[in-house]
Amino acid sequence: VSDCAKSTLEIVQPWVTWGVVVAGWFFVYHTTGLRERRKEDALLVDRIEQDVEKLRDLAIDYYTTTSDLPADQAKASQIKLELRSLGHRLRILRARNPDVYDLDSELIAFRKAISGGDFETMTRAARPSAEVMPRVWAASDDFVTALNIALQQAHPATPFRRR
Amino acid sequence: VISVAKDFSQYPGGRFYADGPYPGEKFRNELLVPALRASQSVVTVDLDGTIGYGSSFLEEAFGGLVRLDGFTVGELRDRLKLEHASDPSIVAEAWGYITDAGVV
Repeated sequence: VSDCAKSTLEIVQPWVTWGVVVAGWFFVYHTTGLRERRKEDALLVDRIEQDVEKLRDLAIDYYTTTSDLPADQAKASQIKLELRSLGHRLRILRARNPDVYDLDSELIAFRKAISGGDFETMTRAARPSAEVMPRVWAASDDFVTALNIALQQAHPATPFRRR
Repeated sequence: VISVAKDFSQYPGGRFYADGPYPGEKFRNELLVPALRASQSVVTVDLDGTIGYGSSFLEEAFGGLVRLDGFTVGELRDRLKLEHASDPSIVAEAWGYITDAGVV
């Protein structure tokens, strides 16, 4: 190796070493950020799933019990309050990635399933659970499925990112 | 501007008069239709500030405008503005009932 090449190597080597260190730092910083962001999204999604499950149980209880006015109104009010909270949480999630977490149509379908038809009407009569449960479960399952698909789309797996 | 929470109730619920003190039919008959018929200007409905909405209330209040009060979907698109800052899906749902009522 010539003296010229040796001296060039001596100059370049520290720069290469530092370059590798800085690139490594950026890589770790970037992937950690992505992982943390997914964790935050997953936490919100979990919370929304809990809301949906709670609403599903409230709706089944509401539709399968006899309409007893004061108790009935309290249950209906709780369902509306929970629906309101669900809408707000979904909006927070949507703000994090508006294109992927656009779940308005799924939310509307779920809301219709549990508070449409004869919800809060005097003519409502208790229905058999065999009639109510499939409808409410199907609506909640559809919503939760769409939510989890959106989470996967927002954070697709890559070779360097483990779930 | 009609604010549901301020001009009607923070606790809207039910479909018909018989269903409770603040049903969708009452909101439509006593606030929405008179406002739309009073002039040709745009009527804004602020849906924020209530305990929440059941779909039955929204369907009766807004779908009923086309189904029962003779408004057309096109006319309402020009003259009715719905707002809900904290949950825009409520607005989308209400418009869904208006357009669905127009399809029949």
